[in-house]
Amino acid sequence: MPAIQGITDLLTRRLDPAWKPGEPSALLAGYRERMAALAMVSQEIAQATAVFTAAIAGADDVATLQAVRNAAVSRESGAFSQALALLPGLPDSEKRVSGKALNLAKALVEAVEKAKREALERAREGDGGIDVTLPGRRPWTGRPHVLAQVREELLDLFHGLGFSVYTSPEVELETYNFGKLNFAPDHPARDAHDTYFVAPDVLLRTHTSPGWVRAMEERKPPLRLVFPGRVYRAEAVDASHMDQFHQIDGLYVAKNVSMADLKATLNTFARAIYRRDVPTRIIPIYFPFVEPGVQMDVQCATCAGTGVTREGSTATSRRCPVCKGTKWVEVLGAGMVHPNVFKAVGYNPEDVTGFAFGMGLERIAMGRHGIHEIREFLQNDIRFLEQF
Amino acid sequence: MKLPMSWLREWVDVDAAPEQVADALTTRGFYVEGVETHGRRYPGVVIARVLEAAKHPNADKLSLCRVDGGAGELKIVCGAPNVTAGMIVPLATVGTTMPNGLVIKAAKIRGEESQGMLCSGRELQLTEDHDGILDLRTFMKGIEFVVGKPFDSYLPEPDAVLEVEIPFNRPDGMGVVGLAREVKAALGGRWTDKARARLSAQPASNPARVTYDLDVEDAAECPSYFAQVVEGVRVGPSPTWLVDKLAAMGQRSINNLVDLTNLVLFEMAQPLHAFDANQLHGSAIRVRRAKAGEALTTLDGKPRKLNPEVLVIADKQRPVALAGVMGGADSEVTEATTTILLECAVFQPQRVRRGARSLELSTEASKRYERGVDFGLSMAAAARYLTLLVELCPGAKLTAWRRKFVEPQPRSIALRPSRCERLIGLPIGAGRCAELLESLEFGVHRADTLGVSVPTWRPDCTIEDDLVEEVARANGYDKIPEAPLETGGAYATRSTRERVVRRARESMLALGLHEAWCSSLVGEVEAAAAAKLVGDDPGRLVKLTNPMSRESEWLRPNLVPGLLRAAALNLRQGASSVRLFEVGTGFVSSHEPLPQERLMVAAVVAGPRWRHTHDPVPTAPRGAYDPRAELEFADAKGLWEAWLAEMRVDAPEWRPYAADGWKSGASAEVAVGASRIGWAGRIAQDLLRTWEIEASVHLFVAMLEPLAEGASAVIRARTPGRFPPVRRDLAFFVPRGASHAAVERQLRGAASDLLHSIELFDVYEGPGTPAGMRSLAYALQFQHAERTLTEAEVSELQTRMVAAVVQGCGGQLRERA
Repeated sequence: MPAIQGITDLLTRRLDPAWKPGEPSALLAGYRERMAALAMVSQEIAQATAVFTAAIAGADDVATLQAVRNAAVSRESGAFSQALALLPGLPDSEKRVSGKALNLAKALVEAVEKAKREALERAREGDGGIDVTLPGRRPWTGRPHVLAQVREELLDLFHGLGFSVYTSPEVELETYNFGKLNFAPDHPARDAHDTYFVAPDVLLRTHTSPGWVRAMEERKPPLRLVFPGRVYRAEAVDASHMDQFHQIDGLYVAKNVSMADLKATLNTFARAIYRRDVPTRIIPIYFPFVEPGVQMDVQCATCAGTGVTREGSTATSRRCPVCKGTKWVEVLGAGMVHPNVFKAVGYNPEDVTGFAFGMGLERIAMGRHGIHEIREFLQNDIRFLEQF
Repeated sequence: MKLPMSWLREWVDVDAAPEQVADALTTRGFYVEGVETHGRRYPGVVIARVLEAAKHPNADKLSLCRVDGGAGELKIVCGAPNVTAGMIVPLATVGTTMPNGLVIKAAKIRGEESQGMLCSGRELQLTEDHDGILDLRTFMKGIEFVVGKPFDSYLPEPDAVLEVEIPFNRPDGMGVVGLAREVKAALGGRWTDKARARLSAQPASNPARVTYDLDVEDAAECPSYFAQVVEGVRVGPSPTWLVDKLAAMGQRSINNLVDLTNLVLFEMAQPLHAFDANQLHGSAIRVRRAKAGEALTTLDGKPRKLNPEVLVIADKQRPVALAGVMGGADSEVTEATTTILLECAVFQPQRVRRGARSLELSTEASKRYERGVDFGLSMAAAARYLTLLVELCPGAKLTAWRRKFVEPQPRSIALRPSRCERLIGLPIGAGRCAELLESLEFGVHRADTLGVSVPTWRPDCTIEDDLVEEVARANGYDKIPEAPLETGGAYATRSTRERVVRRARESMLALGLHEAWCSSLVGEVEAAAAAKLVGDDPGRLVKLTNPMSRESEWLRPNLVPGLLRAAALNLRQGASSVRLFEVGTGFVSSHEPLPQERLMVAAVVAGPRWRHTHDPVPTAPRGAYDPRAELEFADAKGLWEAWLAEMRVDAPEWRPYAADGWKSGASAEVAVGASRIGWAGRIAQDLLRTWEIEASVHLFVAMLEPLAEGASAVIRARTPGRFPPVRRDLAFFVPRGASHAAVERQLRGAASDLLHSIELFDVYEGPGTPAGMRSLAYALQFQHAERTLTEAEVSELQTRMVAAVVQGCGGQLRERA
């Protein structure tokens, strides 16, 4: 067996005693099976190969690994490459056996080497790599104002119901804010509207309803409009009162609009803005510009409509602080447009009927987000703004 | 308005719990805000007599008492200073739960046994008094207490009191009777016998000699005035039942005569006034307008200057009361009063309101008169007072009464059931309509169209639709069906205004600015400074005539004051960075009656360029870009440029701008074509001191209306060129006075449409630049839509562009480095 001896000599000559042996089977799945297959072909070559793969597995760093690799399989000087170069000079039978064994061995060494190289790279990234927990370089991001979020949600909802936006002035003539909306002169209903004036008959609108008058004077029925905007009341400011706040009014005028249409619309609003199955009720209320007048309440979310809340471990129940025990929370005012309003804009109340509603953005936002201090809306403390 | 259940039951037979009554009223438009209990029960508290009170052997401030609680003698340790032998007191026996939840136990206090607690008024939550034990013989005068009897047997039954919000159009709801009528209709009760008698009562016939001359100047302003003289009255404390009744309404007892006027006020919503008749001069009552210069000191002790808006009650010489508002101090009922003149009047609501408002007064009486007092109930109210007065003052002698009145026209309205159906959306037949109206005591003539006569207490019902509401209300809003809206092919649209606002907000948000909503009302200094920043005449500022405070007296001319207030607030609270914008309205006066409302955006930024902090400090030379540095003009301008691009503003022109409030040399105006649309720059530090801001702040203001068109225009697509672009870099030395914009203008002017883009990529000034010059380097891209460009045509263009800069800006081409 001189030929095979030559090959094993060639292989073993390239081994370096400084190489530490490792365990290649831990690196490469199927290593043992492939080594066994190699040994079936050539016991001697298998033994020599095992020394290389052990050295590869034992390499501590990329440089050592590279040295072993070069000694074994480099194209020019690798032991296996050189051994393969010997094959053409061998007899056919040995050529076949040794060739097969060498090819198996070389492939195995290369596979172990590749696995080891990847393991070393993984290890290097692990200790010298990126601390992925460090904060990233975040760009600045802006948040829409919480009232804008509520407004947009409402406008989107009403847009879907066919209501377009109509904008009217914040500084308004008294006749649009009061007279044409059927507020009689010297009527106590005006007491609910403490008014800022800039001139004897020019004021800051106290509600968004003057928009209806302007829209109806400008356009012919049918109309389906919403009127978002800022309104003003000359009131002392405290935790629950601001002298400026925001409303959205709605108006639908057509041939035969009824309270049934109104009720459906208000319930759609409540289901969309509160929750799908929120209990609601409508009850009578007085506003000069509607007849009949409607108030809509939704069930109090704080006490779940029980009127009482339980607190602390003693579980003593007390009257719900939000609905004051009434089980309901007012969310909006509405009603059928008063015939006098139609007359004031030149519509004939026998030809058309209509409903209108109005709601406050602050009330909705406060209920939804648990905001207790109305002044926060216009203070613009960033710590407040960036929550929403 | 408070409604005690006991008072309600006096008027209607109704078998319903307070909650049911509350619900009935609420669903009929009288919103019940809550149900309180007036009075309480004290199980375990008994009447006791203190037999002996000795000093506690081991404590200076405690007494050791022997007490008779009815079931044998008890030893009780007591801390009150006023405890004395013989006192009748409430005793909480062992096992009693006090109103605050404390349970009384037998205990040893400083070594002495205590078998119960003697109670103070406050411990019982009966009075505010905590100075000592409640001395029952002082607290409830004239009552014989039996030791050992439950304390409760000496107290009125606890009563549920409903707090009812009365709509402005329902004056009848300002009295128990009116609410009782609603409850009766809602729950199907009936008037009690007592109620029926009281409603139909009239003042006794009038045999006596008429001693008072009564004159009403204008019957429209005083449709009814009744005056009754009562002699021999004795002013004194009211009986307990009356005190309790008023207490439940939140009204303090004054004396028997006055308390009775309040009783009738709360019951029948008819204000009454008792004059001391001996203080009225000339045996005359005149209902007239006040004359300029007249004055009256009212019951509250305040001297008031009257004016001709005020209707007064006067005697021969002077006003003695503000009609429907408040009596005068001179003719007030006092302990010395023996003869009264009782006034029971109906005044015109508008007149009372104007008078009360002109004097800035509002009283229980004026609130009722402003809404409208029931003419039809007025005489029954007078009778009710007089009946009770005689009960309370057995010596009282009713003498003469006089009444001047003009009967109001009865009101009748036609109601079509079809109108009900059309408005309510629910078919309600004529018969049902009639029943519902009759339940509220409307008179109904039944026919196809109902003839409805409106009761005197319902001034709110003047047109057919008012009756529709009555029908809807009485039938129940809960019965109204839901009819989901149909669009009928209609759809909602968005206006250009909405589009521009939406894009303006979203673009600012995308640039990392939070959205602020600021006050529209600002102080004078803020308003004037803000106006000057954008070149507005401070004379066009709009001022409130009735501000609540100096800081909110002016309408903002633009959004700057609010944003600077917000910046100041945040910086004061330690924010390292402020990036805020607002989209809103500014106000300046115009030639029209209404001011001009300008839609705009404004933004402020202050603080570092970049928000991260943990990177190593750069070691690059001074002047190199440092992400930690404070924002400077170019950083802020970059934001505004990006915003303008998002608004589809094509080639905005930035020009130097100077005005009060800007840091000199660090502000610009932005123009598009011929119109100026915005301002940007750093705010001068002396202006920032107005808001107490030390940091440097950059500001941007832009008008949105001029941008509306562009922001909502439909964009026509351009196909990107398929042929390779040619890039040429050109660097020029240009005199420092020549702006980048000027150089770029020259380059563009000389180019053909083959020029695709120009980008400034370097600005340099330092070693190597000729004196007075700086270097500007541009990357030019050329591209042809349909073919590859030739070297020759690019070179020719380039030569022309270089020549333009050389000639137009005095620049020179830099040799290639």
